[in-house]
Amino acid sequence: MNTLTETISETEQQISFENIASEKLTPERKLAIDTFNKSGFPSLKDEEWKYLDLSVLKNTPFNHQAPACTKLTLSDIEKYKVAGADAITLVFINGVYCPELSSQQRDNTFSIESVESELAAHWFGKLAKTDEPFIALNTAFHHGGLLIHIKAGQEVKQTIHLLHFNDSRQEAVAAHPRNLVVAEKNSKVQLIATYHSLNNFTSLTNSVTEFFVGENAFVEYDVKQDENEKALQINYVYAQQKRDSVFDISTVTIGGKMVRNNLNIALTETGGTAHLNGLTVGGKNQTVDNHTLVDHASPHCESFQLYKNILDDNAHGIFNGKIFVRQDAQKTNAFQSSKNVLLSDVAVMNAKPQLEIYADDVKCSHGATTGQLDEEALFYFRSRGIGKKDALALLNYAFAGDVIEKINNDALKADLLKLLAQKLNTEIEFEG
Amino acid sequence: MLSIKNLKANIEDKEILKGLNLEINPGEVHAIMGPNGSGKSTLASVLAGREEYNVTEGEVIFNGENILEMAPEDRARKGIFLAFQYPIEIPGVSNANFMKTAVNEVRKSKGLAPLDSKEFLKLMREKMQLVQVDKTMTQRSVNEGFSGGEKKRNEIFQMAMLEPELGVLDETDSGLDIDALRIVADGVNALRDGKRSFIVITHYQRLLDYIVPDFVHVLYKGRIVKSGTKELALELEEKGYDWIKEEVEI
Amino acid sequence: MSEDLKIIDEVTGSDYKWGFVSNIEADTAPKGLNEDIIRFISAKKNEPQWMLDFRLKAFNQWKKMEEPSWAHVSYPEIDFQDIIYYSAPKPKKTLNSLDELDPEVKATFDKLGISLEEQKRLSGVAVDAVIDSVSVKTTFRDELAKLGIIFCSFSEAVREHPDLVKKYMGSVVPYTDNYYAALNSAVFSDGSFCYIPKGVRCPMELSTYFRINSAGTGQFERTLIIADEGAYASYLEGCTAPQRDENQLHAAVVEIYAHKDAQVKYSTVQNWYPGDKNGKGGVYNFVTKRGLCAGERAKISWTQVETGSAITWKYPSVILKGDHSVGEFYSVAVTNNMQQADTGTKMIHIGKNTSSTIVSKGISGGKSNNSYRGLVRIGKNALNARNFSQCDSLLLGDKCGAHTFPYIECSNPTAKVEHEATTSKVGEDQIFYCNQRGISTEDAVGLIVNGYCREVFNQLPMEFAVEAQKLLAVSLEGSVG
Repeated sequence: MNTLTETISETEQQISFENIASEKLTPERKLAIDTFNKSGFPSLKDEEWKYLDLSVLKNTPFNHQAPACTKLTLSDIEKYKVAGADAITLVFINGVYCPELSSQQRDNTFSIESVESELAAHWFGKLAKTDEPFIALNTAFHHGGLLIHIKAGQEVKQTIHLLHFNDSRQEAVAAHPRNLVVAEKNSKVQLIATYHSLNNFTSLTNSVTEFFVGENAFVEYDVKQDENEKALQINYVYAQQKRDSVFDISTVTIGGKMVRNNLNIALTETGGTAHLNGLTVGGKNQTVDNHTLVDHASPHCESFQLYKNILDDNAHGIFNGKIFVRQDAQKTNAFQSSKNVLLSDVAVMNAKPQLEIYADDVKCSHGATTGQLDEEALFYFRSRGIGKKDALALLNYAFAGDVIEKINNDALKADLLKLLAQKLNTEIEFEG
Repeated sequence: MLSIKNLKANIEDKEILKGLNLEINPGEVHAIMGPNGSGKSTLASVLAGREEYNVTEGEVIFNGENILEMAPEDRARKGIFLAFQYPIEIPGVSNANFMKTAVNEVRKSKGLAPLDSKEFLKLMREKMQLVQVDKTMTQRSVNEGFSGGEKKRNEIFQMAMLEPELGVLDETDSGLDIDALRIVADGVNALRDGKRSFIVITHYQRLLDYIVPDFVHVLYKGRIVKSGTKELALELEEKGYDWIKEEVEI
Repeated sequence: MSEDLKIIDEVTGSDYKWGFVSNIEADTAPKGLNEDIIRFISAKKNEPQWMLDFRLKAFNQWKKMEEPSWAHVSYPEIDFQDIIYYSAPKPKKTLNSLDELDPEVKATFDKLGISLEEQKRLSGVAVDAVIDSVSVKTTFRDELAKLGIIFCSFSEAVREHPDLVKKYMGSVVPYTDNYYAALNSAVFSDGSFCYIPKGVRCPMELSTYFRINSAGTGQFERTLIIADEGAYASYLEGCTAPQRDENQLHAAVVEIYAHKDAQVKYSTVQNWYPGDKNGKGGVYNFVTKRGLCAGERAKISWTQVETGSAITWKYPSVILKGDHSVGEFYSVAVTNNMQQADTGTKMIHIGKNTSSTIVSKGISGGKSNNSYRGLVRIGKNALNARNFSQCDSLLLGDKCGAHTFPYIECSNPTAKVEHEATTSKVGEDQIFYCNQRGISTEDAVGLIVNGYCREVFNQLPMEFAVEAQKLLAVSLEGSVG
């Protein structure tokens, strides 16, 4: 993959392979780049990309060929680990898996191999289709991520932590992490993905993760996005759920210049449950766009979504959530809530919570609120002698903490609450 | 007037009524008691025609007609009234409007001309007095935001309006304090006219202090296992159901 | 023409109560759309040059535009050259009193249940009836004139109040606004015009009845309501169309301009022919309705009950420009059989302390699709703006769809925007409860649905509310499987 390079013609937005070793250039990759070149980047006119300005991304000449692993040592990455978590760490730099920095596997409840392996071909690209331009790009340029395969009936006791670093020292790098998680019948696993920048240059992370959640399996996937102020991130998560399975995902976005998250959950068999939570604490010129689609394709499934944004300075928050209930999906329970707080005069929130329902025996609802924090509550704090700044911070902390409380992983929860307190400049005592 | 013979019914393939027999003559009040899960509410539901219940055997003859094949509204029009254990809320539909529709449907089925607004209001005022319901209740949406006691009183008010031949009271006393219970019972007693019959389904004997039954039946495992007069209810209150169970199991 | 009408008259069934065809001789333009047709329409109406120029500008704009495709509806491509753009009932001579009205036209109104005489005598509603494209008669003119209120057909206003028309036409919905607004601006044939002078409270409901009569005609009416400072008016609009196999296009424009302290309440009961059970025929209802609260404390309120049309594409909107201005939208949209509705509102908050309320009740039965699409935009300077939206959907079967697409754009931190939506079905428990009281399932659904819509019906003037309830019952026939 080392000889992979690309050129972008700014007007045409054409991306191509150059000087690539022919054995590396699989027909799938070639097809994907053709597909991308046909569609180009999405534009604001595209209903799914309404409100999100991609011009920086389009106009930056990214190198889609990631350099070899940067010279990092195990001690360098220590501070990015989640304190107190008993975790198996898998390290990716610019989308490339670095085994020498990663934990060695400790038990046989699961296996790890390349997404380009024969086994992975069963699942690869089955959910993430290349008709999405960024998935086409990822499919063309990914660097062979991992298949994490949890065996039937096994519970992975340790947390699996996917640690992503961006390193754009020489030029703007586009990383295309591509991972697959298969949780077989009756298995249970908790995963964390965190995204960080190693320095302060522009980068693009275009991540695609596919989850296959087997019958009665339980998968929790928590994402922390804490990249630098110039980082751009496009993140796709797909999950396909079998009978009686549970898939929980929480996405906490603190850093990055522009972050776009796409969650696509398909409840394909009866009895499935999905929880989707999201928290954005945005400031400066950040744009954070959360798109969710929960596809209720079977009866007796439930989904719950809670998305919150706290937006300061010039921050721009976007929430676009869709609950789709197919004709067969009777007895569906689907709920969605989008709550947003604007802290500055110039922050903007666009919300589009949607219901598209074709079954009649369902309970679906959504709510969206945007406004300031409760003035009454603020006054109450102040009347008890707490200054406005502290009162605001405490209220914001409470507002946002609500989402973090939904995370089942205690170590990550504590880590995120601490990060939140830092971001909101409050001094709050933490227990445990 | 009502004759239930060897009634067997199930829900989701679980048999609840297992050959129930009951004969009721005009003007009689029959209390049906029994432990939880014995099939009391199922009996009420089957009589009213709830579709989730499948009748597999037996017959229910009401005034000479087998009603089991009839739609719920037809049974209602023929004079069977069910006072629901959990009355349903219908937002936005006023009680008065709801009752006017129902009363006129029942009249239509009997070949009577519909009541106009004036006649209807007169009837309503009369019945409101009879069962001690105040005016605001009729203007509110059906059962919406009603307290437990108000909901039960509303059921009795509706019964008064529809003047059925048979009133089936499904645990009308549950969740009521003693005052509310007395008001509800007074309403029922006001409707006892020597011709109208009642089936009073209850878990507790105390209701029967106010609505004095002619007969008391014990329902257990889907069948009536013991019948008697109001003294039986007192005995049950004192001893509980265990002695009946033992008697039956032997 | 009248030969065709007779044949169609014979085949019309009873499914659609208002599906009769009046045998009024029509004065009709040839099919198709080009500059000549526009000149023909303008000439027919004896319009001044400025009006023709406006039409031609709009036509040129329209040619450059594309038909919108974002709505959640699907239908075969419309051939805009296969439509008759002008059809006026004869006689066209100006009428001085109701007695001179063509007896056929009068009979039509009688069938509709809006006998003008009755209206005049009993209810004191001033009616402007628009058949196909031409305004036939405005009642109560003289009495309104005493108060300085102008209520007349649009063509008349063009001739007699050119300054007002020039000043306000296109000020709220410019011809560049969207595809159908441009088309309407080019070919509109008639409609109603209303001006309420400063400080006048219009003492009666103003009403327009629209009716598409001739086969193959599109109806492009245009309504302009201006409420001057402190004025008040309540305006009712009713629509019906005969039953026909082919689809008829209806692309109207309604503009409301409310000055400082003015209030306008606009109510619609839309009952265009919805097509038959298999989705054949029916009206395509592509309408642009918008109000501008131009001054402080102005208030515009839209109430609509939409039961008809094969396809409805309609978003009555309010631009809240004046400080403290208020916008309201109350809607019941019912779809049955193969109907499709994509309807909602836009509340654009620009001024300070503006507030808006949206209450939308969608009811879908049969194989229909019913979408709410609404935009709430809070501009940067809209300090303390408030919006509350409640969008409920009720499903009556398992082959229909109910969809909610709210767009919430908030750019001011002092704003408070709340949106709630629910989707549910008519509960089996509720139906059983009604059954047990002797009420049939169909009547029970009617009762429950009317209860569900009460919040919106309460906004309608009394006579309209009764009509709306009846319409709802008719529309829901056979909706429960």
